[in-house]
Amino acid sequence: MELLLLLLILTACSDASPTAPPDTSTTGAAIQTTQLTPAIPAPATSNIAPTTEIAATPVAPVSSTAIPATTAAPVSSPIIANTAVIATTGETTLPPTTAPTTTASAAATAWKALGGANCCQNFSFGGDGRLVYYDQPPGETRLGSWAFDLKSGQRTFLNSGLANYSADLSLAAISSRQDGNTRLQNVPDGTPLGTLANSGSRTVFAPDKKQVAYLLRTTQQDGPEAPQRFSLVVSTLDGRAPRSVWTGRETANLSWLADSQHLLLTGRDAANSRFGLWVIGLDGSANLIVESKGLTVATLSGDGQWVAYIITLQGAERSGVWLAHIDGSAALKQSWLGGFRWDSGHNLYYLPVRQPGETASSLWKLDPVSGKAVRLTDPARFPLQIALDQWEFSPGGTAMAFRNGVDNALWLLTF
Amino acid sequence: MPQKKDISRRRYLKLLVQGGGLALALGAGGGLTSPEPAIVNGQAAPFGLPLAGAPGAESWFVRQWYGNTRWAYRQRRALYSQGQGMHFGVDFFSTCGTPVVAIGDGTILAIDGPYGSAPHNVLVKHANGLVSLYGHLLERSTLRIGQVVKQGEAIGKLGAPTGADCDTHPHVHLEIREASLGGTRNPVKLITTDWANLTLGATGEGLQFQVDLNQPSRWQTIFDQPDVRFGGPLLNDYERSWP
Repeated sequence: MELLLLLLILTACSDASPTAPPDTSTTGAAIQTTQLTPAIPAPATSNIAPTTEIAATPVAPVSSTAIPATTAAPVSSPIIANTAVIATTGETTLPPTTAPTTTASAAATAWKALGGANCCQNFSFGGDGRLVYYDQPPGETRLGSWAFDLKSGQRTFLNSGLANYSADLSLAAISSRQDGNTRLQNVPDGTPLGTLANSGSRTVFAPDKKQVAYLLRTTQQDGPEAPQRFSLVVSTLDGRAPRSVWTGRETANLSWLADSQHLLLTGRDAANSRFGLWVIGLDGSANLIVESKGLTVATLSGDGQWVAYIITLQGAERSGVWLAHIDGSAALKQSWLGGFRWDSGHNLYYLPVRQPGETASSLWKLDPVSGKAVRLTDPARFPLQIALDQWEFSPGGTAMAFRNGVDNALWLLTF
Repeated sequence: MPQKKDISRRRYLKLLVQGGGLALALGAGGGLTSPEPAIVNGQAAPFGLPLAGAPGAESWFVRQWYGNTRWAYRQRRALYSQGQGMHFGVDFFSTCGTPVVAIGDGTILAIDGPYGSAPHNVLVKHANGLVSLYGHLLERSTLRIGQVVKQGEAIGKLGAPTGADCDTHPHVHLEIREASLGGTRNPVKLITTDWANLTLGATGEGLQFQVDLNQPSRWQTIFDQPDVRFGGPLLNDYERSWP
């Protein structure tokens, strides 16, 4: 029996590459999936940096071997065994900086791998819930962008490029740095709409689908390490009348507000004197809603009413993750530090950085209206390790796609 | 298969068995540190970090990985043209003046030599034959060439590429060069630390990798990045790429 147990474990550990069952899908069926029961993680080491031996351990993240259902997760996970009891219900008015020791509110129900290591670049969810990514799926001859329906398992080829899409996936902006253009086209029939001579800059559709915006990097007169100069350009879909509505430096994180008349971005003004989070109007208005030189990351909530942002290197009081209304009011520094995403409404999902002794992350959901946070995953059942901050939520918050740091494959966590 | 890996596997299995029951080992540190740390003179991942203390929003964090980053691709024919288009170091952001420490025991090989990373740099030669470079220092190091330094000892102050005004991107650019100084290796594989935690969950051009649309899975992890040979041909002059 012991020999059999070791054999099974060896099987699980011997394959360093993620594997999936043979592709039994029919034409147009889903990318390969491997359904797993929640795993019990191996015992955690006692500090962040594992020993050299552990660091060199070949990890077998996914095995094609059928894994029987595990027994109940350990009552006291070794991952969080040294943390103090903070909450017993998993619901608090402000999220704790360390995970509760209980496993309540573990809302996630299952996870599975989608495809192999390094597959599925630039994945995101469309407004219709389909998962879009760039890949050449097994059994397919075409390399390009695909839309994957999580429910039906149907996979649809969109185009041969890697594009930004309108929320409903009906329009695509396919940028090419090589020819310096971005082609706008209808997705269903591929009808070209227009071409933007924008150096292949990332192009974002307005919610009304009548305009696009992009940040055009201008001549680097000060050298490549000096503050980069940008022009915010807005155009109609035919590309015939692009116009600059703002110029600045170190500009990034561009997104449209819900009214299709304003845009949110981070950066500095052209004079390099004012820094932070800006709302730029198509009428030429420019409002600095949060002023900070250390503000370099910001995202807008799905309903356009909230913004989350990170301030760094501005002292202990100011540095951290913040949440505010879209006008910058009611700014509240969060007690956690980590990556975050919005759903299509105003729920903020976040992954606090691991505390000393933790080897996996917990996923939380915060309602900024009530201020209540709920832990969605128990690291003892779902030991999340997300690579390169690549994770996206489906519009209704029912699924999360993420790049697994263990195998670098695309995984899906469902709720 | 290297002996090191075999030893690790045995220990790993032991841990699994001690944990009880049949467990699918999904986690347990994989992805947190290099799955295959480089071995130098028999020592795996021999170095430490160039900044002391814990990472944090107010202290320090990683803002650009080594290799095929989006920023490097953008600068492949300019800033990084001599480095085959790759970002041939790791950038640690902090406030100007923060002490930069040696990543390993060694001797000072050069101060403000012709090795880039203006305005000031320091090179430390280590017993394993590798050389660490600390770039964009705020001022000339007060150490002297030939001086012995210990791991964790301050070798200079963190600065910014734009100079003493520290206006933009204050950071230390850490390179690990081969003994000849003619090429670099990925520090992520030579330093044992919880790399995935050092970005604080943030993202940006330096923390994502450029995608070759004809080979989209190549060089897409922090561990899987190419060694760089200075003066060699561009590695990332892709026919089609994203973004």
